Amino acid sequence: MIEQYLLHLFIIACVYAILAMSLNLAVGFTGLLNLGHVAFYAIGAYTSALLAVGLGVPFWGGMLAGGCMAALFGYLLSFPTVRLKGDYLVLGTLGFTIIVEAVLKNWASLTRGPLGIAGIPKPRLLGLSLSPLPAYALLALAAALLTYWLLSLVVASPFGRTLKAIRDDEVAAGALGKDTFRAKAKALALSAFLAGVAGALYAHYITFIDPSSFSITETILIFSMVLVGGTASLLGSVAGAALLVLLPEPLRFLPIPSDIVGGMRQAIYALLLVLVILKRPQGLLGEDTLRDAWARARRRRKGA
Amino acid sequence: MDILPQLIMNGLIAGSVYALMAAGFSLMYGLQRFMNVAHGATYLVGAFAAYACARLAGMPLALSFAIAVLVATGLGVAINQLVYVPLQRQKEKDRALLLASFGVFLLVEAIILMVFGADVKSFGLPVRKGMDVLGAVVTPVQLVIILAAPLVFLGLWLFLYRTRTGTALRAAADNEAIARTMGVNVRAMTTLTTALGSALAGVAGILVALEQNLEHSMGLPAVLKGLTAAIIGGIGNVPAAILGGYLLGLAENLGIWYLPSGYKDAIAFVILILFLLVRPQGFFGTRRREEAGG
Amino acid sequence: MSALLDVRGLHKGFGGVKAVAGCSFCVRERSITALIGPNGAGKTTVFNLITGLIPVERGEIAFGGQQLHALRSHEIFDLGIARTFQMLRIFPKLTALENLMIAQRGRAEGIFDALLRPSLVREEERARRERAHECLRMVGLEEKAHAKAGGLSYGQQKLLDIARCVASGARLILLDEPVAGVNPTVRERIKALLRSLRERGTTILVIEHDMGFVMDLCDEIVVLDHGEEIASGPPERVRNDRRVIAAYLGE
Repeated sequence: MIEQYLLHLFIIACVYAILAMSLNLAVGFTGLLNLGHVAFYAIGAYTSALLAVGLGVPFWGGMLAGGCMAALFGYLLSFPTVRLKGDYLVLGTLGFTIIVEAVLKNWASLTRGPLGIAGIPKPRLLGLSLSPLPAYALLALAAALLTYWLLSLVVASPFGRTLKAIRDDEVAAGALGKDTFRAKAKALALSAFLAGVAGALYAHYITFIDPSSFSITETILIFSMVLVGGTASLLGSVAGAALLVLLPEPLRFLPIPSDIVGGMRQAIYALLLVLVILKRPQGLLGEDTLRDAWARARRRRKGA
Repeated sequence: MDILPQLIMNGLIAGSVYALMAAGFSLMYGLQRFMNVAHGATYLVGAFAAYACARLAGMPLALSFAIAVLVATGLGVAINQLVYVPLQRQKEKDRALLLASFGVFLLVEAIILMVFGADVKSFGLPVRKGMDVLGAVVTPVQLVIILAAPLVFLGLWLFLYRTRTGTALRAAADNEAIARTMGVNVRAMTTLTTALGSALAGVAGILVALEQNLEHSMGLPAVLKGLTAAIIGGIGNVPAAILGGYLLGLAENLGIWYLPSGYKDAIAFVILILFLLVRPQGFFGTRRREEAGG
Repeated sequence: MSALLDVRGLHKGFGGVKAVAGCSFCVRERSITALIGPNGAGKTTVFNLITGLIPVERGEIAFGGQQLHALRSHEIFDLGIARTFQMLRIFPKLTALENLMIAQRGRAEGIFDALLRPSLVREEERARRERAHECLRMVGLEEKAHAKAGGLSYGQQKLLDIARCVASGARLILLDEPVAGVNPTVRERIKALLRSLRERGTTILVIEHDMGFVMDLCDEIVVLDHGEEIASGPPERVRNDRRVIAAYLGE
């Protein structure tokens, strides 16, 4: 029983780790304050779930399709938003989330509206079902590790350097030959793709999705994971995801009504977010913190 | 009955609330220079404070409203002092301020949820028969909303354009550095605009509470529409933001003539994205010069 | 020698203010040309127009015979024009070395190239790193290679900014007040650097208020006033031009 519960938390933490790492690509490395991440997550989840339930498409195909659909929307969203700065970008991406949420709730003939989609099949691999929890946990872990590997490769590449340059000074990056709009659009598309994959992973695990799983509060939760962990730090995002998934769990065992639990969870996230911004703006494992510590250690070793 | 006058009237009712939110937001943006999402928290608290005073404590309506506006104002000022002022010193303060205001908003929303619960509440004013106004059916409460908003704006205008403090405030919003050399206390002005803006949000909250059901989740759509209205009008320009509020209310209510009503909230953001694409400076705004120089 | 950059009848207004009003001048290949004029004469605006930062209202800019009209700033960079900014625009969170590596284009800069063409990426990165070290040596910042650019002194940041243009391999370098606010040692170092760049075939257009620096270094001087060029030619001719003297004395 307790193993089941821990494995469940592990799987959820992996899903959020993918979401937080991919959001960090946009927020921390490119400087795009994207509050539409949860919409990509939703698009991936719905695409994969609808393909599986409606057409019997296997999980792997659905996951890929979900990622691609999310990437397409990420790319499209980039047109009105990459030219925008700061506040406007936030509002534009937030608006996108609300539009997607409205479509999920209202286009009932496709999405079944507020009723949601039930009976999403668990994935199979080489004829074996991945429905036992340990198997699904391995799948989620593999997906999180792959995401980490892919993103650390991208941010360390010349393309990643271009993204950081855009984040630090977009005008200068343009004057140094970087097509800043295209680079931002690509970063947003990749970020969205991974969020879509996370959505498929979530949908086929929980086997039921409805619009309430993809609300704006969820966006802020993912954002908090990135900020708490530290922007421009992939490991920080993983740590932030694990921390924020685990932190409110003890509430589950207290004898309080569910309304209050929901409120307390949100209060914990929100308070943590505000405190981190006020007291430790670079996050727990921010880029500077990590890199500086590493550089110091290396210098000490060299000096010795 | 023709439906058009009714839709226009509904648009004006919704627009009154958006205009109040947008005016408060625009006022604060002039000095704070960031999108203060916690504006939705003061709105929410205004609505629930009025409800708590009038319905739970049984106070008279006028007293309840006064207390609600005071509570909203106090909350806005407290957030400014406790969170935004310390953040002014940070390196990446724009991002920090915006995200912190989001965090504060969610915190307040969570507290409202814990205190009042998730069930829908109603002010429960006695339902009166609607009157016929220009071909539309309007209840007395709705009439109060439509008339109260312009009165508030008139008061705001008199303050901004007919008093010394109002002039100082506009000067500070126009050019902080110059205003400072002319002896304007910019910090005090920031506090004052925060108080004023929060009071406007509180009024908006009360008006909505009178007519509609209260829910803890009503803050975010309200603040986002207030922001959208301010952008449609032209950011940092109070009269333009007010017009933007009415435009948005009308657009939404005329829009659901064609679309299923579930899409009402989405209409605002489609308009927003269109504006961001085509005319980010708003209807009445002028583009700010980015980099000039000799 | 032929003109590398040819500016004809350039116009640009901001609201009601005419920042550039019918400005025309040439920059000869392998020369150091100065763009001077009183504050507000439109010098930086001309730079911003050339590099595509703001759109041209009217007029033509030709670089090596190619029109720059309607190109975006990264495309103009790719044609071989690099610039510095009056307000320094280095990347503070990147190291000095990375600041120079980013100015060098390559074939494998795509989002998945590190995955799909790792050997090409490695090879290009090695070449970039070598070139970056070479340019850092040129401006005497070799030992700062791995320091964060934001932590360098103002003079070092100025040198880094120029080195970044050099690293890009641009044919034309635009420098906006390269010696403003730097100490005499750095000033002389920059002067020597620009001379050696000219020797190697780079063309330089420089905005500068320091007349000693301009007169000593430049082959040609273009004088702007109220967005219009009022004189141009070699230093000794411009120095004695009546309109130039009047403009500077505020007639």
